[in-house]
Amino acid sequence: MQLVLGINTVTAFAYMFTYVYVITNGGPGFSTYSAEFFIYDKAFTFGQLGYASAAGVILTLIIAVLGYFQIRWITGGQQQ
Amino acid sequence: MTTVTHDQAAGQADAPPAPRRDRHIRWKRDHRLPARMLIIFALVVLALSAIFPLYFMAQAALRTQAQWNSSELAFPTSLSLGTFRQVWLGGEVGVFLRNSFVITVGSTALSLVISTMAGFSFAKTQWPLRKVTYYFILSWLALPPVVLIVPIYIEMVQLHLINTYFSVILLYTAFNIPFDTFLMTAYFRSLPDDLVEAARMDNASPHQIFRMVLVPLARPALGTLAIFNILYAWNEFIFALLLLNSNNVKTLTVGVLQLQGRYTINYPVIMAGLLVASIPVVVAYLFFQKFLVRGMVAGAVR
Repeated sequence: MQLVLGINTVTAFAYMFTYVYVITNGGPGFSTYSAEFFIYDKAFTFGQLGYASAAGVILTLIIAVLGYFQIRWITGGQQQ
Repeated sequence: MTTVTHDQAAGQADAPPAPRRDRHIRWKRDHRLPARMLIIFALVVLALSAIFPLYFMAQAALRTQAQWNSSELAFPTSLSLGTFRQVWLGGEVGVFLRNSFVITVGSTALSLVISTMAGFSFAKTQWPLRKVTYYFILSWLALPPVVLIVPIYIEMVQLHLINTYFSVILLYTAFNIPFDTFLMTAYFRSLPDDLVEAARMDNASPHQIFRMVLVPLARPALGTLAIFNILYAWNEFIFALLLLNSNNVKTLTVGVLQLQGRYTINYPVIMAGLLVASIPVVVAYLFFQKFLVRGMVAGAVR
């Protein structure tokens, strides 16, 4: 159960992009403008590849911290 | 460690879960009627909310544009398959279907083979840095693929893999491997070491142990993984959109989006395309479900 919850958190993160892109395209205004969509938009709509890469690195760092606790939570902190 | 597969696949082999399950059932029976009715009502609402979009999609696909304009929700009074004809002839849905099929089968097969071997080596063999490697692979679980979108795009351009099946097949394989390896490792760990020992007594090489003893026993886990990987590869959108531009190699999920542009307000046609896109995965799911046999290992060692 914990595993399923943990995995779902990440897949929800990853799948959000599809819905945003297909349904709302970030709008109305910026109300559905997710972090992933920001990266995609900067890179392939505005062509700012470096800017988008930097945003990707920052998001990766945030997720790495979350992921560390997530994996500890999944494995229950025990050695195996 | 308790994982889902553990419970699903090898539940009978473990002693501890059993009493908890009993208690769970008794707890359910003790419920008063109103509380149970409330739970059932909530579950029915949830089930309906899951089924309704499917119903909506199916009934809309069977309408014509005129019928759609008169009513969007009522039961269709007449059946028309014209939308499917329009999708098939107007778009290149046949080609998209083939592309989706090739990509799904390719990436699923590749990631299953790799992760099964990885799971075996993590669970049943000893080598230096094994734990570190395992956690390194596990850590990729926590990374949403979208953050890699820029480097992957540049890499694919420079490898001249844009607009080829290989780009997405390799990519989906890479994205699926962490989870697959995690699951296979957990599954192989749940298989008793005695099996490996017994095979080694009979002079089996590690390759033979893997191929003839462990892989046949891993069939339930492989079925589960096949479902997950097929669903992922079939439904994947961002990277297919990014890496497959020409109509020869586009997948169905991206191709259906194209219908949206061509028939701007023709919802029945879009719904027909979506229906075509969703039926194969449902069939694949039903097919692989029979591999989800519980506790195949239960009687293996006595």
